[in-house]
Amino acid sequence: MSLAALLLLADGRLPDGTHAHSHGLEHAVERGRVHDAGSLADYVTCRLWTSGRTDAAAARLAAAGVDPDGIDDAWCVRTPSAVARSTARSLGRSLVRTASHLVPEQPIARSDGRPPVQPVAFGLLATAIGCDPPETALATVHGMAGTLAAAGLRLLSLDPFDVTGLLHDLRPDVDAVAASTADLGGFDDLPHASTPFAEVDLERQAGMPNRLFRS
Amino acid sequence: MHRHDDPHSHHETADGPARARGDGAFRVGIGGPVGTGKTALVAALCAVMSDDVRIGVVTNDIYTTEDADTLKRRGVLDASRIVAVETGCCPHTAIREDITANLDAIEDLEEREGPLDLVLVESGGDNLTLTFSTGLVDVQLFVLDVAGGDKVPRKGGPGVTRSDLLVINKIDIAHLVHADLGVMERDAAMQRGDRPTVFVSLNEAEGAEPVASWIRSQMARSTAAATS
Repeated sequence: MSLAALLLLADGRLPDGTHAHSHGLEHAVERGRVHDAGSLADYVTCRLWTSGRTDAAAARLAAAGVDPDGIDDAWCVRTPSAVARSTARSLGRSLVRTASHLVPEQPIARSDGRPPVQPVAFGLLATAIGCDPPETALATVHGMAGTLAAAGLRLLSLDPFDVTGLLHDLRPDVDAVAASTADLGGFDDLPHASTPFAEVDLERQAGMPNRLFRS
Repeated sequence: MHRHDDPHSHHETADGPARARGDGAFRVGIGGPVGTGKTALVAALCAVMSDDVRIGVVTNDIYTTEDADTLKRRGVLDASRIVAVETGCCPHTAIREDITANLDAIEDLEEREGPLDLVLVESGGDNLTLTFSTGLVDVQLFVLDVAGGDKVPRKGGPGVTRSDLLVINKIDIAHLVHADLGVMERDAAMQRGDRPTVFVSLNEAEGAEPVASWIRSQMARSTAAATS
């Protein structure tokens, strides 16, 4: 383990392409389901325990040396939204590029040459720079919470202290979601904790003509 | 009307453009505030250069593919040579702090349409602090217009002070908006040292000729540096 590596991986300034994504939150805001800091907190909590948990498990398994193609396929099977899958592939490509600069001796790719989906690429990058599997899961959940909260701040023009307070309050959830991915044997054990609203949001947002975020 | 007939950049003479060039196209970043004529400049450059230069265009938009669609409608370039990057609320980040989406777009464009000689990367409209990462482009232009007020060059900011070429557009309406081109020229020179500034009107594509000739000189310089 390396705490410095973990901090680097968890830093929102890592050039990983995520700044352009809300992962469907923009559509949830458009429909009024998320409208203030409280409802944003509920939304983020829901995402952490569903798709966030699946992502964290995938990243953790990848960091633990489980076959990346197998995790990638298992993750796709558990992700009904085509938009979610293509977004994850695109963000995986960004991480492949970042990794090619940080750890050029350890190229990240699927065996068919395509970039892995984002959580798998994240896990492979994490282990390449010195993070262990539990740290990788934690950084994955932390990243999702931060990405959604930052998008919520922009979309709703929230008070940044409220948004930081929201993330502060979510610390136990972030820790618990990451911890819940321990004891998985292989990619067949990947949780399938989808949430229909998130899938619908991702699909509908792709059709919004004036959206601010790519997803 | 002032025209810098032989605009050329001096500050990079010693070491050339910063990005290490591989076999790919020469990349030019085009930034500037909203409405100053970035998309018009891209269209005009395509019109005056595309006979002998293989050009690709990457636009960065807040609202999905607006600028790319405008360019495609104008028909200045084969639509397949124009791609859009969506910047997620923050055009600045996508061209400086996190350039991954733009690099992906350029890579895809060159793979599909290549080989290309020149890729124009247009930023979304932003403020005077806008600059491109040298990991993304070889040289960068910053576009202002006289309608924003003749005091803008004096305000400085990295877009004005550090861009390789400052383009001041819409000089044909300077008298209507009471903009003094002499003041703009003096202030730009004060802010930019020996970096060049050109004054243009892009109502007709030919108005972009001074910019096109500057880009051609930069491309030639880059090719010479790569082969020496």
